[in-house]
Amino acid sequence: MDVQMKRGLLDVCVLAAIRDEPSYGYRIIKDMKPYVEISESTLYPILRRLETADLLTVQVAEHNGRLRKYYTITAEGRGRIEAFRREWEEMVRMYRFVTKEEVSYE
Amino acid sequence: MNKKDFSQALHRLLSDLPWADVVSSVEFYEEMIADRMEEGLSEEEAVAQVGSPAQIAARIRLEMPEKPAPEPSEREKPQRGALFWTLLIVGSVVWLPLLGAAVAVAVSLLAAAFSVFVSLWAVVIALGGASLAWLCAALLSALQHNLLSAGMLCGLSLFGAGLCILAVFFCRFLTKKVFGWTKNGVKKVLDRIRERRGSK
Repeated sequence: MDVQMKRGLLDVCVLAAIRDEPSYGYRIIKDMKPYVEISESTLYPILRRLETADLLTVQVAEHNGRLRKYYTITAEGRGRIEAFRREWEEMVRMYRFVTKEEVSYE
Repeated sequence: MNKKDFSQALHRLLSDLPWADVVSSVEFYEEMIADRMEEGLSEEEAVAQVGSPAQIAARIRLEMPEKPAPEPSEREKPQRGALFWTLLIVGSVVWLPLLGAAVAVAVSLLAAAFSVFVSLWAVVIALGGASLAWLCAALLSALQHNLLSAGMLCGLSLFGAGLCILAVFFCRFLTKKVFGWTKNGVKKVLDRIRERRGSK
């Protein structure tokens, strides 16, 4: 898959992983695992990018005597997921057209 | 490798990056290791699953330029390194003659085009000269009281002059057009080269 395209898709996947409630790095990886496997070295730059773009915010909270970062989706982040859905519907229509075996013009 | 060694190694490998970036990167991976250990993995196993500090550092560096602009230039620069110049010099055996041939073809095409113009203008001059010569002959005939041939020569002279004027207009039109095309073509090529230089 095109690198740029995959990057954009993974961004949306990570946003979807924190859509319902704030989550932390390791849990994001585990939640995504049944659908798409990503490593921490893939996740880390994505989280940084999404934070810089204000699509998520970071909170530090105590957990078991240590600090853990929690990621919360912003309104812009939700907007990004919505935009992805709309774009994807168009992509699906294009895909159907491309894979259609015979186009009838009658 | 235990967690402490891992953190120190990663710290060292990223030491030339901004301090805040180093700290946040190391913290992120430490958290990953701690979360895995909480799930029941041993420290060594957790560190091994996260990956080697060298791999992680390389990955972080790859993604580091957050601004999109400097990224392509940094990627392009190494492409024009020693390998590029070596290939350029070694490959000159092939590309120099090809370039020479291409230039020669272009020059000869231009020369051919311009020689057509030169010959067209030569026709114009010849017609003008002929019409003048006929006029002179007509005058001479008139002086010798040979009115019939004087009239015929006068007519020929007029005919030649007419043809000459028509040819002048035709040649001027063609010359202007072709000079215009050539100028535009050269301009376009130069603009392209300038654009490419500018974009780099």
